[in-house]
Amino acid sequence: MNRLISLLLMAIISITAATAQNVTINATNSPANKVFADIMKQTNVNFVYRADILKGVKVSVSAKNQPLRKVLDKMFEGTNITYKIKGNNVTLQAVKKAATPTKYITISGFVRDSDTKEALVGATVTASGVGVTTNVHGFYSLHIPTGSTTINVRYAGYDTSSRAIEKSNKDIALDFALSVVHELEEFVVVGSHNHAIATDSPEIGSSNLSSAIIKATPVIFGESDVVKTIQLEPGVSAGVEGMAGMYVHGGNSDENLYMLDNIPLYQVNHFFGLFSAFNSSALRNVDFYKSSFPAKYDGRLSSYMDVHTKDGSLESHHGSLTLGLTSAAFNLDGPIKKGKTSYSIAARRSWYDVLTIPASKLISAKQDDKLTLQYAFMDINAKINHNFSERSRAFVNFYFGDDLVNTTTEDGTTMDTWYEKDKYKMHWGNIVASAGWNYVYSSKLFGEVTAAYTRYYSSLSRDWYDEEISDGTKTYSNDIIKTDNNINDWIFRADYEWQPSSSHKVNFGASYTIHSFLPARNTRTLSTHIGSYQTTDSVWRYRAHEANAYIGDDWRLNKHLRANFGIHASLFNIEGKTHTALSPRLSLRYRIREDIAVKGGYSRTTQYIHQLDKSYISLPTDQWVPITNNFKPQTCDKVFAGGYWNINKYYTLSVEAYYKWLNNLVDYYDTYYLLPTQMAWDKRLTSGKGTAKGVDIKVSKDIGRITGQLSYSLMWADRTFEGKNNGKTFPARFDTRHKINALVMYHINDIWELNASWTGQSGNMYTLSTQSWDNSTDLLFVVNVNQGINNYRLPFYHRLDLGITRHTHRGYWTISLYNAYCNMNVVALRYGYSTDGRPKFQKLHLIPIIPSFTYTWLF
Amino acid sequence: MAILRNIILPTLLALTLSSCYTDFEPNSKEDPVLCINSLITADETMEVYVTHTWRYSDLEATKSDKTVADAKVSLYVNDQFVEDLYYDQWEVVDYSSGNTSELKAYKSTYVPRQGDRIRIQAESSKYGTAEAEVSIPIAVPLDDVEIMTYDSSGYETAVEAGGVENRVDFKALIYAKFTDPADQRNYYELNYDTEVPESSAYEYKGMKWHYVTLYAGSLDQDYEPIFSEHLDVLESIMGADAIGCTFFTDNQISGKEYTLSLKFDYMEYLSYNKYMDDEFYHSYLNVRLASVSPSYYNWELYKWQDSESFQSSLSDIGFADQIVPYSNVSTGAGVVRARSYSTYKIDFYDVVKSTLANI
Repeated sequence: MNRLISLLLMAIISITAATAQNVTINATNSPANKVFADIMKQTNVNFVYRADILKGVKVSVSAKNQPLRKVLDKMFEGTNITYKIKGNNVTLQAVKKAATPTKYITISGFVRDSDTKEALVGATVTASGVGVTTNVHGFYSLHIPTGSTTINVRYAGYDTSSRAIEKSNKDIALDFALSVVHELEEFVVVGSHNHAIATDSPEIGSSNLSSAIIKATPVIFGESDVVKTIQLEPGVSAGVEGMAGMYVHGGNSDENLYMLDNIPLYQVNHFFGLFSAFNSSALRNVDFYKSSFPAKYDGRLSSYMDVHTKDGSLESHHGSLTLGLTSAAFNLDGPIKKGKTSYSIAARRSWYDVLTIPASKLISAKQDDKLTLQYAFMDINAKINHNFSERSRAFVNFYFGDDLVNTTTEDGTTMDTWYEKDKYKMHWGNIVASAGWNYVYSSKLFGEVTAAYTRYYSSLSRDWYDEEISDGTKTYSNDIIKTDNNINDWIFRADYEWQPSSSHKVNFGASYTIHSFLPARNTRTLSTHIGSYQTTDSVWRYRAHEANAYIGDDWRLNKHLRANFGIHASLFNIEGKTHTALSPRLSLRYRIREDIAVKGGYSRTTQYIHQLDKSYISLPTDQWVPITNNFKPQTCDKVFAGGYWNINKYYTLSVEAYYKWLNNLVDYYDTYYLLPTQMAWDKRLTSGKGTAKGVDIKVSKDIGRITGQLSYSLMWADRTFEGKNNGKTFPARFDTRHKINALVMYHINDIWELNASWTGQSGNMYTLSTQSWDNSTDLLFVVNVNQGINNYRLPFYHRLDLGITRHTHRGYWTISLYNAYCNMNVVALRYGYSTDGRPKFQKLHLIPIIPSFTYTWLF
Repeated sequence: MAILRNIILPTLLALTLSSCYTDFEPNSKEDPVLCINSLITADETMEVYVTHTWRYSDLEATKSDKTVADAKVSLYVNDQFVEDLYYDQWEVVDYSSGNTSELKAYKSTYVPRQGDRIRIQAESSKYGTAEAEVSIPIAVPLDDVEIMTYDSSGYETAVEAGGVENRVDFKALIYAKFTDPADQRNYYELNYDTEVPESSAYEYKGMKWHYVTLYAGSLDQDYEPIFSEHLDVLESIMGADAIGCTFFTDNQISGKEYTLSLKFDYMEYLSYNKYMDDEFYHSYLNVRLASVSPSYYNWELYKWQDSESFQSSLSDIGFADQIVPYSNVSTGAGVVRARSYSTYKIDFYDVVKSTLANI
């Protein structure tokens, strides 16, 4: 006991001795360890602490002969350092301050072009380590902690805009107007934000194409084309050479949803598929998705392409007139009421008929049959926007695309005893009209409601008139056959974006569509000198109701992990039966470093409407038809994964792999032609499945004088149908095993631009039979043994396209060479004969070098 | 294919002004297989042509005789073995050209009947085996035939050898009625040929000729819509026609009575006789309604598709898949068809005699 008491007394004396010492010190913003040294000189205390807790800690203290404890209290006031005095030792500790709740504010607004006041889609808005991109209306909503910060807005091709924000506890509305970059060294030619989102976004296989890159891509006849630009993406097959076909990741051509400002289009081609229906002078930009699909989209299996048209400048009038070899295009936009209302109108029309009508008359002038031939296509885009306020905006949108073929042959004249006239007419196209209103409900909620009408129509007719005068008596017959195919859709939809916090961006919405399908209605009217009769197919119109709802969240879990997940629910009611589907979507991104990310995901898509075609070009005979009770909705399940590396500020490398399962596909039976023509169209179809797998690799450079991309894709795609190829699996026609694309755009200076693209890919699959047989009674009719569908691969396909653009103060000239080194690729095989009559397998080489030029006048 | 010919193909060709073909030889080497062809007619013995397939580009094989003469060809009727067919070869004469050709086939002694289900099996040591099955349809009688002749004109021309040549041109409209049997799918072919009195025959340079001939000009197939039923409206609009095809089905007339309208725009009766015998005013048109097997109809449809259809035209330039060939033989080579006839004989005595009488 005595020993214990002695120890306690010694301790008390020691503490008292240490704390009883007085200190005189004067330090201002001095390093703490330096101040400790002064104190130690005046006292006998030691300071005990971990070196890191005083790193960078500066203290201010002024004391004259003050007790040590008082001096230490003053020194550590306002810091996270506490001390304990034990004997002659002063032990320092860093304490974690109790967390105080962080307050957030929302900064929202629009990002627009400073000249035209048009919305900039996909601009990146960042502050306090948080970033978002603007939506299709240029709207952003940024949820950040309170406090002073700087907001940076970046958009490729535009100057970066920064704005300092003082500390505020209230939400802020803040619009940005960006100016086009003019410093050549950092000139951004392609106007794409793909680089910025490569390692940030969880999406895989998505890209954004600006109007600039679409116009810069050299194409056949110089007719710039969004679909042909997308054909350069890895994993996208073009189909038949020269055509604006699109077969994405081994899918079919009808598995792509083409939208014009969010409204589906059915007829997406002109001139039998040579050109797409999208006039590039009316375009603002294009979003394309081929793997991970936002929850908003469903209805097609393989890809989604949303084409955004120009809103029109709110400030001044602009226009362009483009004259090319095949068509002329006109574009005009500007304010109706400055700062409030704008318009944009674009029209394009082919001028083949200027040549074909006189040429056909001339050629047939000396023949018995007088021929008149007319082909023309045209499209019109028109849009009006009205800003009621900064928060409220309405728009009206109109599209009309039309193809027309007219031909007439006449034989005989009214002076003869007979006369014959045969007229054919093919007329097909698409009309879209939509109106919508979008509104910023709050800084966190943006919404849009739209009502739209879309009509696809195809009408083919033959009018044959035959007249004969014999013995003064006139006999005649007039046989008119006509078939009509059309779809009329009424669409009502509402789409919302809600950003409840800095880590969540929720998209949700719903739509309802009334479909009316007329797969084919045939009418025949026969009039003769005796009488006339008319037959019309019994009503064969299908009505369907489609409802969709979706919700998806883009969730930043932490600085590494970001997830985009959602679900799209749909129902399709036809013939008294309701089909339902749930299409879940998930994309995950894990950011290993700021510049490296890995991604993975799964998506399911459901398709209720498909196109029946017997060819690989676009014809008015192609019919869009709904699923019926005989078939289930088509579905596609796809898993995908990828790695992304922003090598530096110029280059991005991406590697994406996928595997997809296609179910309930429909196609014509092998020998569909044996089935009666009167049979319902769906009885000629067989159901099947398919798989596709592959890897897409791409290096792209979006910034600088020289931009472009180099890509490689590896793919396998097959099909299995009960009614085709004896039920055995066969390769898809466009099973493009290897595909390499290189696109280079060189902005030499303000006057000259040079563009080049090279495509090399495995040949398409083709059906080839080597064994032949003939029939005892049809000796000249040689038949080939059916040895399997798509069993032969055409030779490797390669082509170089070049384009050069010269800008003048009034506009620009574009001269292009399609297939510059004139490699006439093989598109088909046939069983032919050599010039000496020997039977030979032959390859058909199709398109040679095609030069073209266009001039665009800007005003 | 007017619209094809006039619009689409010229348009596509405009793109391909310098398109060209180059020869090539595929690496794949498929073995030849047996091919069986036969057209079986009820109440006639069978001829079965057994050949082998050949590589399309093999000129020697193309020219060579592809008959497999050493095959074992067995005939089964209603699943019962009947006989092995015997091999035969014989010459036939083409009267129009005077040329002869040699035919080689396996023949039956068995005479097939309507309703028989025929199965032919062929086996060759070199080419393997093949088999095909077909049922011989039941002939459907022509219930009633009504004939109208009009626009007749007669000519009498003296000939150097003495006597006169009598010619009558006329048009004919024939309504042939039949009743399609219900409860089964039926396929038909409308066929016709001409016949003249046997008494007008004579021999010249070893060949048989007649003083009387009747020429039936081509049938106006547009006049009878059922001949165009295999053309869907799109094909019709694209300018396809049914010329050369008189096959049809009961899709639209199943179990019903139907009257075929057969319009002949040019009939020509010709006789040469120094002393005109009343017998020689007779001349006949045999209208045959053949009930044909599905394989026969399908084969004809395939031929039409391959040579005339829109898809076939597009596939030639790689814009569409090729038409998948039809065959009902296990190897995919050959077609075994069957038919049964009912015939109605029309005599043009009245129009010929009355027209000549009015000259």
